[in-house]
Amino acid sequence: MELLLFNIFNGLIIGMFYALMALGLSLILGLNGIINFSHGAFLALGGYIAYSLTPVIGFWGALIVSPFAVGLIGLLAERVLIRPLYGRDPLFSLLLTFGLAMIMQDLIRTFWGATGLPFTIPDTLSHPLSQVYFFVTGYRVFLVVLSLFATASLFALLRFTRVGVRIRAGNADLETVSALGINIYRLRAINFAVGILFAGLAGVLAAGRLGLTPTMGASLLMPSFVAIIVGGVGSLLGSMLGGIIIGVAAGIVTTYYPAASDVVIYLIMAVVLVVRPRGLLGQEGLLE
Amino acid sequence: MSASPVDKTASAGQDSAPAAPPARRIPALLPAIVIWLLLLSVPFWLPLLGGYTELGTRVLIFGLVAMGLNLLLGFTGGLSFGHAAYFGLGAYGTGLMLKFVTHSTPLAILVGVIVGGLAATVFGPLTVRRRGIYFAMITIAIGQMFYFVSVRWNSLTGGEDGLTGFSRTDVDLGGWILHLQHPMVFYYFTLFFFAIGCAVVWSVLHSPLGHTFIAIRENQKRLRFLGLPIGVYIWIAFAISGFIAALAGSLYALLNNFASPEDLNWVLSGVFVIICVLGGMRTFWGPLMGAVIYVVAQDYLSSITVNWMSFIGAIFILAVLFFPWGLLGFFQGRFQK
Amino acid sequence: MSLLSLKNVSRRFGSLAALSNISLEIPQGELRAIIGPNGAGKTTLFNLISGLFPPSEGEVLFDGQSIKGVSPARLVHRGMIRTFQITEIFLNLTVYQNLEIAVETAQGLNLRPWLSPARRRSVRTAIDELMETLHLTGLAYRTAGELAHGDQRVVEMAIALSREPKLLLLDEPTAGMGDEETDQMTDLIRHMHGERGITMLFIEHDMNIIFKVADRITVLDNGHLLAEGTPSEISANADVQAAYLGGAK
Repeated sequence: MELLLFNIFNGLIIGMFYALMALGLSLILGLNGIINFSHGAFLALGGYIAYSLTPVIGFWGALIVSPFAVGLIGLLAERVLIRPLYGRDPLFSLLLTFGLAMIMQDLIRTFWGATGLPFTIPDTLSHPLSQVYFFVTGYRVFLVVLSLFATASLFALLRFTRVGVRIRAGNADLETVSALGINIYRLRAINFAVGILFAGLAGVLAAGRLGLTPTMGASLLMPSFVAIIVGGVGSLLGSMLGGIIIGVAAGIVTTYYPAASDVVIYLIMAVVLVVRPRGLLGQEGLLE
Repeated sequence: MSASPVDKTASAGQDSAPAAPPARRIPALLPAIVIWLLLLSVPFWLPLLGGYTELGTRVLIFGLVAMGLNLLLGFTGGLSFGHAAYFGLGAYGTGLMLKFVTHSTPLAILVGVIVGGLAATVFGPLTVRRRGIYFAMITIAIGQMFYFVSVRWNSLTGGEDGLTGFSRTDVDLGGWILHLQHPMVFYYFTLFFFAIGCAVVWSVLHSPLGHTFIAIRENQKRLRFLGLPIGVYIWIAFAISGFIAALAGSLYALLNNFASPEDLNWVLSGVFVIICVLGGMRTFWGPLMGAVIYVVAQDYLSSITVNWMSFIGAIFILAVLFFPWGLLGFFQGRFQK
Repeated sequence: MSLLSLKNVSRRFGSLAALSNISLEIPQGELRAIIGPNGAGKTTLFNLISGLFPPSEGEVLFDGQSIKGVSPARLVHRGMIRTFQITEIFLNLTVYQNLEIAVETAQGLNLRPWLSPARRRSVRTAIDELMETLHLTGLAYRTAGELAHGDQRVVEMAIALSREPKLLLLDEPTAGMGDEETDQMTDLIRHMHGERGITMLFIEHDMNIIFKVADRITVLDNGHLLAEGTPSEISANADVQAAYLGGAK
C-alpha cells in the first residue's frame, strides 16, 4: 500500500514534468503550428543553466532567472530559424527543430560533459514532511505546488491580458486575427518564447528531482506528445491533464509490473485514439 | 517562385510511361542505367575512394527503407515520423529467429519482414484519419511504443544493450553456397533485396494504386468526390512502406549481427525522413541519393569529430532552409529551365 | 420518373435558415438551371444534394432512393458527381495524369498495383476518347496548373464525365471565363446533354447561357423557391424580376 502511494506520488511528479512540457508544446503547436522537437533540449538547457547559476545567485535566483534565459534563447531561435517556415509544409519545421535538438544536445554535452551532474536543492526543501510517508519531501511538494502555480499563471495570462487573449484568438482562427491588424509574427514569437519558458522551468525542477544529463529532455519529450494526444490537441487544460494522467498511470503500473511502466503510456494513447480520437478535452475535428 | 520546383519535380518524378511525352522516355532511362551500373560495381570502386564495402551495404539499406518511406512521405503525402519502429521490428524479428529458432537466414528475413510489416499494417489505421502534423505526432508516438517494448522486455531482447548472439549464416542455393559472412557477398545479397524493393516501389508508382497515392497528395477533396475512401489508400501506402522498412531492418540486423533499441527509436525515424528530403522527396531515386549523402557524411564526421551530432543537426537545418526539394529536386529544377 | 427529387427540404445553420421548404423534381434527361441572387442558397442546395450535410427537414431522393446517411463517396458510386465553384483538379499533374486518375477510378482499378497490357490499353483508349470529346488532346502533357482558367474547367468537366454520371451537378461552370471560353463551355454542356443524355443541374449567373441551354429554370431567393418554369415563363415572371431588380423597379 505504501509502495503504491509512493509510486502514485512519484508518478504525479513525473506527470507534472510531462504537463509543463506538454503545455509549452501545446501552445506552440496551436499558434505556431509546429511540433517542437527541440523542446526537450530547451528543457535540458534550463536545467544546466540553473546548475551553473546556482553557485552565483543561489537556487532561488536560478529558479527564476534560468527559465527566462531559456525563453530568450527560444525567442532568438524562433526569429532566426522558425520564422522562415511558417506556412510551409509541417515536415520542414519538424526536421528543423529535430536538427536543432541534435545540435543543442551535443553542445550541452560539450559544455557540461556527457556524464550526469548532481543538482543540489536547498536544505529547507529536502526534508521529508512526514515520518510515515518518507517520500513526501518538501521539494516534491514544492514542485507540484509551483507547477500548478505556473500553470494557473499561464491560464490567467491567457485569460486576462491583451496578449493572452490574442494568443487564444489566434489559436482559434489565425486568419481573422491577422485581418484585425494584429501583428501575427510578434504574437507567434511571444507565444513560442512562453512555451520555451515553461520547458526551462520544467528543466530546473526536473534537475532537482532527476539529476542532469544531456538527454534528460529527450526522454521527457515523447511522453509529452502522448500527453497532448491523450488530453486532446488544441486544449491546454487537456495537455495538462493528459500529462498528469499518464504520469500517475505509469506510477501505478510501476508498483505491480515495473517493466511495463513506459509502455502503458502508449497503450493509454492507443486506447484513447480508438475510443475517443480527439482526446479527453480536444476540439472536434482537429484530429479527425 | 518557390512553388515552381514542386511542379517540376512532381512531374519529373512520376515519369510514368504515358504521362510524359514519348520523346522524354529514353533519357529518363539513362539515370537508372547509370545508377544500376554504379551499384553493381560498388565493391570494385568504393575501396579505391577510401570507403569499405560495409559502407556501401549500409547505404543500400538506408536507401531501401527511405525509398519505401518515400512512397508514403513523398508520393502519398503522409508525414510519418515513426518508421524506425517497423525497421527495428524487422531487425529484432530476424535477430531473434536466428538466435533462438533457425539457422536459415532467408527464413529469418521472412519472419522479420512479416513482423515489421504486420505491425505497420495493424497500427496504420490509427493514423490514417489524421492529416499533416497530427499524423506525424501519432506515428511518432506509436513508434515509441515499440521502442519501449524492446528496451523493457529485457529477457527476450537484451534490453538497452541490444540483441546479440546471432550471426548471419551461409545460404545454400542447391549446392551453390553463398558465403554471407564475406562482406562482398553480403553486399550483393543486400543489393538483390534492394532491387526487389525498387521493383515494388517502381511498379506501384506506375500503377493505378500509385496514381491514387499521388492524387491523394495532390488533392484529397477532388478524390473524395470521385468516390474514393482516402483513408484506405493511405493505410495501404503505410503498410507497403512498413513492409519495406522491415525488410531493410532485417538486412541491417544481418549486416551488424546485432539489433539495437536505437534501431526503433524516433531519432532514426527522423533520419529516414531527412534522407528522403536530402535526396528529393518527390523523385524515385532521391531517397537513395539522400542515403549516400547521409550515410557517408555520418561515417566521415563521426570518424573525425566527437561533435558529429552537431554537424548532422546542421545538415538538417541547412537542408530545410536552403534545399527543401533535395538534391534531385534541385537539379531537375535546373535542367528544365 | 424523377432522377432527383427533393421533398419539403429545409436546412438551418443555427438560427439561420439557408433553405426553407424546397421541393424539386428533376426528371431523367433534363437540363435544369438554378438561379438566384447571391446568398439565395444555391450552393447550400448543391452541398445538400451531394451529401456533404443532411437536410434539417425533408427528404432527398436520388434514383428512387433516399440519400439519408449516404456519404458523398457512396453517392458518386450511385452516379451523382459534382464540380465546384473553385476548380478542383490536380494542379501539379499533367492533363493526361488528371484523366488517368479519373478513368482508373471510374473503372474501379485503384487498388491494382499492376495492370495487364490489355487493361492498360483500355484505360488509354478511354483517356484518349475523353480528351478527344473535350478537345483536350493538344494539352495532354501540359501541367494542369499552367492552363488557362477555362481549360482547367474543361479538365474538371472531363474528370466528372469519366465516371459516366447519371446526374451531373455543375457549380457555376462558366464563372470567371472570357466570352470565347464561355461559348466553348456552353457548347460542351449542350453536347453532353444532347449526345450523352446526362441529367444536369447547374448553378449559373450568366442569363445568356441559361436561356440557350436550360430546359427548365428554378429560381431561389433567400432560401425559398421563388419560381420554376421554362426559360420563357421565367423571363415573364414578375416575382423573378422583382427579386433580381429589387428596389429598382
